[in-house]
Amino acid sequence: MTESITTKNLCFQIGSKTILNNINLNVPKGSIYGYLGRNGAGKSTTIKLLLGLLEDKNDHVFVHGKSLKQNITQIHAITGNLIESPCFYNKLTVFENLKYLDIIHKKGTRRIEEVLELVDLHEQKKKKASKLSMGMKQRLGIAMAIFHDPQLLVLDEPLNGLDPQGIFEMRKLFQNLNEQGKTIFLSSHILSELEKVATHIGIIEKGEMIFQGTKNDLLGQVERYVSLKVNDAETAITILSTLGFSIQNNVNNKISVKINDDQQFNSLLKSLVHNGIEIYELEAQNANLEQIFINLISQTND
Amino acid sequence: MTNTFFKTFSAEQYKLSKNREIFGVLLLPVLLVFMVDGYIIYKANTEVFAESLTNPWVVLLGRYVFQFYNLLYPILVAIFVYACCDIEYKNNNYKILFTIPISKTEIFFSKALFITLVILFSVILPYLAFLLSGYFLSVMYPEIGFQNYDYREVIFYTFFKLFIALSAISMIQLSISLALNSFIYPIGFSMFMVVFSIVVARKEFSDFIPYTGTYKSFENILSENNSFARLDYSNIVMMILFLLASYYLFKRKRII
Repeated sequence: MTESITTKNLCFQIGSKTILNNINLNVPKGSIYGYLGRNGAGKSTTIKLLLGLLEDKNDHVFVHGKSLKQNITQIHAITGNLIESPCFYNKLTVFENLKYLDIIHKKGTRRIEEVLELVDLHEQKKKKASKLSMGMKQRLGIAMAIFHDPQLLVLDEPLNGLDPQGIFEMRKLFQNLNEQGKTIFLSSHILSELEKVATHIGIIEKGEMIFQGTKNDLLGQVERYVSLKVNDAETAITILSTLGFSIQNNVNNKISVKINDDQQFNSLLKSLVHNGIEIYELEAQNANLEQIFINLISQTND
Repeated sequence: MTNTFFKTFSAEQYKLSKNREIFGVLLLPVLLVFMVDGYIIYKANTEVFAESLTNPWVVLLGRYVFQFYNLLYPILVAIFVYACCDIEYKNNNYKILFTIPISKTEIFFSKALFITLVILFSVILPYLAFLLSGYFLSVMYPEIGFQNYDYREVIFYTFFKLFIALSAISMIQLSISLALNSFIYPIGFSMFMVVFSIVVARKEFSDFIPYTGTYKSFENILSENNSFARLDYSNIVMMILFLLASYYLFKRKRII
């Protein structure tokens, strides 16, 4: 079994409204799976179904090869989660919230201290959870998700409310956990962050999967451009057009050239230099996840 | 199973015992006994008692304490039970509860057991305070005449039947608090039932309304009634019925 989460034609309806339609998730073990979708696309519903918070009547969700419906308690023992907003008990302190989990998971006080260090909440451990700032509440939510050292982490918008430093630290934490072999199923609106950590991507739109694969597969689907600032753009365009390059624009002596592979890039530079064109700036215009996401969504809706 | 249940119960106890409302249900009834003691001491110091004319356990201590209990206890229980449910509604903490590796059945029954145990202690403590007050007053103010009556059996049964009635009330309140995420409905219902139960207490059908249990405790202590009646059996049945209803509501809870 190499899949951590698998769903087979997962469907979900509320009344006559279809929320999810034949979702086939394949989340490899040890991956960081970024789950993307617009608001209302069905991300949170999928996540709630993966955790058994919503009932999957037809038994279509499998975690580590086991049916969620039939092994829900066992699966909860190896799964940590944070869904939408952090959950914790307001009347308990930070430490007491983790102590509550410790009574259930029996990990010991040392683990509480360790997790508090990991999420940088050690100094706030005696503070009532209700008195924490929004970012700290988010950290507490993450602490509670990872407390029992789960094999699988399901996180829905875990970076909400964190400042840039907090986002950086959480990214490091997720990467460290992933290096330890944990699978992380992550949904976030901060696509730039997701792009940095995810190894696999799934995109959902209107309850249907429109892409699933590795991040490289997704990024490889789009055209690459290089942007060049030259001394004589018109001559450069003539030279490159003769060689069969496709040029996108020409503003302020800046041209954008489509390239298919590294050899083509090399020949582009050589021919310009050989013809006496001076190059002042060179910038690779790699498509980012955000652009690809927007393109995919608009293609689906066209 | 036993080990998991004990673990779940310990976790629930740890979490729920941080509620301030628990002190209300545990300490206010005791405080009321002491307040009535204070009144009796004040009266003993300012008035002359007709020695042994009437049973002071009834006319002094019992009458005032149970009059207050009739009005207070169902509301205290409603607030306490609501607080036990509200802790899960806040921050949508049912998400924690339903993703820990413990079955919903064990979680529910450990919650219900905790509620029942707190109510048991909330009856035992004033029971002990009631007895101790009588003995203390019999020593300090023998002219009142507490020492002339052995009222222990009646007191025991009155408090025991009060516990049964409160357990039934707690399970009704649990059902309401699980069904509705609101402070107004469970507390409002409890307040309405207190008034309603006083109005209908003398009707025959009132035996099937657990909220009349606190009023009838007041009558029991006045009339020295320590026999089990239809109301008590009905309360036991109600407790079981509403425990099952609450279990059903808890089990079918979904996170939307």
